[in-house]
Amino acid sequence: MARSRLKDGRLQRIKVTAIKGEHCIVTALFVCDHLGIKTPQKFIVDTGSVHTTVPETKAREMGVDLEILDKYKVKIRMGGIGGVADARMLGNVRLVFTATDNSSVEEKLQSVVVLRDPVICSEEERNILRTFPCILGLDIIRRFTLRFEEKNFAYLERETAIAGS
Amino acid sequence: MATVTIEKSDLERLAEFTKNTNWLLENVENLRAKYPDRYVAVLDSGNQVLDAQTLEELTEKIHQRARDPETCAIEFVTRERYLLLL
Repeated sequence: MARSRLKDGRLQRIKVTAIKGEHCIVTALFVCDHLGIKTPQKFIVDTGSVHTTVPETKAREMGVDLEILDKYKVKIRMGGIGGVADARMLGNVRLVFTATDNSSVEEKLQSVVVLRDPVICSEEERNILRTFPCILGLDIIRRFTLRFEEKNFAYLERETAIAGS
Repeated sequence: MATVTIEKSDLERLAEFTKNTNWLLENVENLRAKYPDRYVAVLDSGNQVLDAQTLEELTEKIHQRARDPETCAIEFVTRERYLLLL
């Protein structure tokens, strides 16, 4: 059932592509003010990830100087089924989504994780990593309700107050 | 700190990228059959698909068509389907 306006507010809905048997994917503009970055990116919606995460290769493509992050920013260790990896934090990031009513939905993050690429074992791994998407973590997802409604689609949605209501 | 302004053109780029990405997601099995172990770029909501052996070659093809690689959905299409275990 499509939901539209609520009694005292507006329903913000961001469409997520959720093809059966595949990962849930959403797109957004990745904006980093102090680096002058604003680029469209693809995100896997991952409720198993606490932080929104950018792979090292993607960060380099966007123009992030990882050597500077290494020097000045907080370094952390990340663990998962694939093993353990070093990561850095990139601060002051905004994600700008387009809602179903074509309005922009901007979400600020104090920082995102930039995950160091693993040691490459094969040409196939290298190729896959070069187009590996970013990960939308719980730091963003929990601001919304993730609702699966239609075949092949889900929505990140939330109520927002209308000014004066 | 300087703030990056989001222009209408940025949102249009995002819309184009989204259309291309969704087309790629919906048609990845067809692409896998046609372009196994190749880099592909989807343009114009799937009306144009470019392929290449390397990402550099693919990016060059996109530039030759005077298109912005950031609005294209670019993927390495593996011969066999795989799922990421995050």
